[in-house]
Amino acid sequence: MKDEATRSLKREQWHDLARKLDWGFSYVDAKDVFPEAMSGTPWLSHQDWADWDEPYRTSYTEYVSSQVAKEASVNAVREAIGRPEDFARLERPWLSALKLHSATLPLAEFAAAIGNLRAARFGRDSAWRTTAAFGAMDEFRHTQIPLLLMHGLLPWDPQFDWTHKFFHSENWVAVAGRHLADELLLCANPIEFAVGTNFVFETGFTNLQFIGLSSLARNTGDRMFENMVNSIQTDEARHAQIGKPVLATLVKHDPEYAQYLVDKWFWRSWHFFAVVTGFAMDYLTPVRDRTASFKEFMQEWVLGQFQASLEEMGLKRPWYWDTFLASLDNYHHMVYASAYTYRATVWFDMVVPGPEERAWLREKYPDSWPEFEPIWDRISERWKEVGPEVEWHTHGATPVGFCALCQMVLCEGAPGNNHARVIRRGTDAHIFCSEPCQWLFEKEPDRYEGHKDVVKRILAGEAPANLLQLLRHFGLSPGDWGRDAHRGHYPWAKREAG
Amino acid sequence: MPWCKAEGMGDLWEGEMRSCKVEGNPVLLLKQAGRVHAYADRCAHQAVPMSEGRFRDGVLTCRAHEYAYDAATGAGINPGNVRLRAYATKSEAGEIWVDTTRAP
Repeated sequence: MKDEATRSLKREQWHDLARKLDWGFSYVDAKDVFPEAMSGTPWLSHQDWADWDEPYRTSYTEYVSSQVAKEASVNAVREAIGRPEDFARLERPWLSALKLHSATLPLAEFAAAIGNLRAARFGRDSAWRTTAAFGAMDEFRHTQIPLLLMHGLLPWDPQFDWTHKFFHSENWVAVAGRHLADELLLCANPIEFAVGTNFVFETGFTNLQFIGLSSLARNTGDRMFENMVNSIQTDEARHAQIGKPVLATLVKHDPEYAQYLVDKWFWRSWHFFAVVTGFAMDYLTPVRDRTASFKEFMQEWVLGQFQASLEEMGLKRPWYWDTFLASLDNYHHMVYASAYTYRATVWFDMVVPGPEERAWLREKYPDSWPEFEPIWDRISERWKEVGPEVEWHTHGATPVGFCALCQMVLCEGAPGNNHARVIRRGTDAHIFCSEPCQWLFEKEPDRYEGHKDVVKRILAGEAPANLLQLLRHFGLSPGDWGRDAHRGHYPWAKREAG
Repeated sequence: MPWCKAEGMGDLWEGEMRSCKVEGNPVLLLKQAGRVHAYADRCAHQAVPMSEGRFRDGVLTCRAHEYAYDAATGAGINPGNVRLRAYATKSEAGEIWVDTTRAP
């Protein structure tokens, strides 16, 4: 009779029975099983977490069958259109967008697997732990798919080597990427991980990639990239949902800390996406294939929903919201212009926006773009002066300044009004790109002040000052360092005969 | 004037779904068990058009994050705490009419 009853359980009844498998401890203390240092602050009784709920339910059987189908689909697409000749048809700037994503994505996903596994052990409710275990398996998959797909392109283009190499290098972008990923994915306790990764990064921002960029990939004809990100995206709803119930409990017991974590990770995530997605959408996607600007995608897919989520949680917008809105008009343009003039320090090629692109940018960013025009005028003029193939005439030679918090070049503000600022702590000076970066540093100085940015490494003799030697230190060689994507062969740069 | 004709939808097949605009609103129409159902063409999760997803075995699945809904009612299957906005429909003279101001 009992067997009969079990067999006839509906799917949702089985889930409700199986997902909550917590029990009381008799000969150890719960604090020993879930130490605060590992499980996170505030340490609450299990009763406070007992209502933890993940509305999107999955059993292991469902997980496996669904993932097998997805793998088959990715493999079928790879067989059909994953050969180098398929990629050779794509525009060169778009290939750079692909290289930028391929480098920054897979090993960050691997680090996220570790963050999920920590939650799978030290999360305070059994349903949370199970969902995090699925999340870890998702992230392994998100590591392996791009590694596999891009490996096939390596003999064709050595810059794809950075898919695996990036996070293992001392490249300045990798230093910034590790500074973010180490703290958010490798070191954060399950509570901070859930707020920073699951709520802010995944629920807040990744639609920018998975919906916005995926649609641009389709427009450019890169069906492999589109398929890859769509396949990855379908996993997100399951593990991203960890964020809300954790944040809801945190808001109930320590709203000030909840607000701090949201403010912290929104700003840090913003800088990451501004570069990785901002470059791709506003510069590296061919202008005919663009459907919206990076700012418009942010407004459609991030700002509205993120603000609604904060309101639902009883939280406020981050205190620096006005600074962020100004940054939305400027930051990625500032970093792109800076990186273009130091393109040999990265592993992908970059492109000068020509008259058509600049008209598009002027229309999309009417308030900020006019300040960028003189920069690109000057760069364009220098290409015209020397003609194609002479990369160094439009390239910087001395190291630039980096932010002591985000580790990116000092690019907050606008071309005529850089927001860089310096503070002193003891005998040390620390420079920041923005007020929010300074605020984050001063909130947890012990966490951050031991880290040396690239300039401090040079001054300490840990990295070379000479640019060519620095490129080698960054892991680059003439075979894979970044160049102008068209080698200066622009129709608008042709000198008139005679 | 709440009832509006869903232009070009009169030939909707059994087991088929299609999107159209009704009074400027994106509407998903589908036919199941001989009956036409209309929903706002946006997933309750993150507003991705449901018409880009799958309609199979009476289940509508969003292409973005695999939110699944009962195609006959719009009720969430996974997760169970969401639902699609359903609109009233009627068929007249081989055409489908939708009222986006009323539930079925």
